[in-house]
Amino acid sequence: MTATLRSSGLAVTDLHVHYGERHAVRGVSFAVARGQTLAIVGESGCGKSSTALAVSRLLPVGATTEGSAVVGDLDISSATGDELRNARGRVVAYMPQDAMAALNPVQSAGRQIAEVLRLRRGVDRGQAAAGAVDLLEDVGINEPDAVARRYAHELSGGMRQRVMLAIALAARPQVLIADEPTTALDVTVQAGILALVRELVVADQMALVWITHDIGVVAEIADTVAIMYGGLIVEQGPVETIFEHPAHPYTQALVQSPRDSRHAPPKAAFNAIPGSPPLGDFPSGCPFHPRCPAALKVCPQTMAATVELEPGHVCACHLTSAPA
Amino acid sequence: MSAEPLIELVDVHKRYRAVHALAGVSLSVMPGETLGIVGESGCGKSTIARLVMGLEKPSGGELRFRGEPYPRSPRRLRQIRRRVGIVFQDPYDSLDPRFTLEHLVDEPLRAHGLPRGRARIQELLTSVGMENADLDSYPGQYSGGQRQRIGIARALALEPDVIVCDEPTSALDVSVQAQILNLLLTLQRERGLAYLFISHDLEVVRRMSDRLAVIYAGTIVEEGAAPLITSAPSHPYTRALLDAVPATRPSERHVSEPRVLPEPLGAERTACLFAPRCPRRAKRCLTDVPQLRSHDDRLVACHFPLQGGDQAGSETAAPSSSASFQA
Repeated sequence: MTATLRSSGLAVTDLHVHYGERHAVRGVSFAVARGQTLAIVGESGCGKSSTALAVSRLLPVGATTEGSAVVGDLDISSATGDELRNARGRVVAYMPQDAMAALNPVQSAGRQIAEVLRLRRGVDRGQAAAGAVDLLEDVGINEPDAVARRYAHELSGGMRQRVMLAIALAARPQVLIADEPTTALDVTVQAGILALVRELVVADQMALVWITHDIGVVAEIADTVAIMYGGLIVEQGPVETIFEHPAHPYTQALVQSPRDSRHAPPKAAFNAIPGSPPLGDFPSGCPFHPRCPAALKVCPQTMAATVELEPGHVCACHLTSAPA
Repeated sequence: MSAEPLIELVDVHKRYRAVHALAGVSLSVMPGETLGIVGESGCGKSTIARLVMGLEKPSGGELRFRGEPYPRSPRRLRQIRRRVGIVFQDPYDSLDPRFTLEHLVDEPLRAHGLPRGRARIQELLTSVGMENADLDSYPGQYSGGQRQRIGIARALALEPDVIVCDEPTSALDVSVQAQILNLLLTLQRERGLAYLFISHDLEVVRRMSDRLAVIYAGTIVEEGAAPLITSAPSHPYTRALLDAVPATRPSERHVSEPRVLPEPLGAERTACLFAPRCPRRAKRCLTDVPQLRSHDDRLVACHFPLQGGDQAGSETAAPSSSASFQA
């Protein structure tokens, strides 16, 4: 981890999350520089949302963590209550998937944005109200004045998600953790949000962590990609490398199936990975081995070490780490 | 294959108070074929599903099953429900967690007075790839993909002619979606089932369907052979949907959208409702409702349809196009 990265972006080192007996995240490390987007990709139960919540210090009571998540001088994982309150929104902001559940139903959209501006940027009421309207305009909302006065139930799904984005951006966070923010949206609306986020990451020099199960979204917005399976990062690297030279069989299946699909005739069988992602107990050794088309004898026994294949591209798979 | 449609909608309207959810939709599903329905949330696609299931009645127009109008009496409507199955979107919400597998699959058989018994239930579960399932187990013990298989077994129990699939894989993990879609394809091949396949995922609909209807704000804007419509769309809205599908590699990044929001449903239908978002709109689009008409081997409701799949907003666009989908 370089010093510049530590001082400006997010660096997560050997992060573990336990829910009682269940070891949901089993040591993940990644870094994102400011002005860059890291996509964390995986299916349900892989630990991607637990990772997002741990980095935001929003895990439910009873969950325990190990490892560190550092932004500048602050280790979020060990920050005290005051440090954390001070950091929320400004250092790390979290944007959830379900905007309907996250927005306050009895406060207008503008008031919820203005609250962040008052508390985190210290501006007065009048400035905050005007700032809220400006932010709504920044996130691509037409007639921001009118939308600022509306309540969550009066907004479409895409507008709600844009309001959530405006709230997350209000305190100009150094790091934004977005957990599947476009999953519930129509593709046309998603496209608008993705284009907007791409612009804002560069303009505001945020470090963005985008959690998703949708590999297509990753192709659109990520600079770097971490593929999670069974509580582990199984492959990580620059977006071009992950899409053009994936090393892990799981990554290969993820990036190849939509590509094959585009050329498949109607009613032709879909490429399917057999089985389903593990929920609860992870399989022994490499957690992907029961579904892996290329599993070796060693795969059910031990997890492969994470090996750097080329600078910035790491993979944890016996097929790539063992000499052929 | 007979030439008579299994399901027909003739100029069907559905109003919920001020909202005109369906404004004159006509379509048909032929035996053994898949008609795909694609559109954004709120476009009326789930309303079509509920009407076809006989769960709601249209505000205007007519639904027909094998040429006969849907009966008004609930008792006779049950006979249609036997022939029209449904697979729901959410396999977590659509199976009662307190019932065993046997009870769940037996339920439709019992309700319609069909031959029952564990052997029949075993047979149904086998046909959806759950031959090893314990009949005394509960849905909570199964993954999303397996629950969706149980849902399909319930739909198959009545040996329907057509199954309404309402976003059947949207709630599933990507790697599991393909398994369920393959199962649906296999069952169709083996049993000659027809599907009314509803999804917001254009790529999935394209792969599953023979024909495709694109819905916008309660009307069909384009309808025709699935490969034709997805490779060379005539309606600018179909083009916009295709353009919004994310890339498959970073070198092909392209998505962007005009910062224009759709008109609310219930707007006066004195204009093309897509006009506010359309890169090709002209004066006429704001004063004339485009009718669905034959164009280039398909039906399209647009005053200025695209030619040979050209890009929306390209040089062949209609006069005075004022917005663009491409940034």
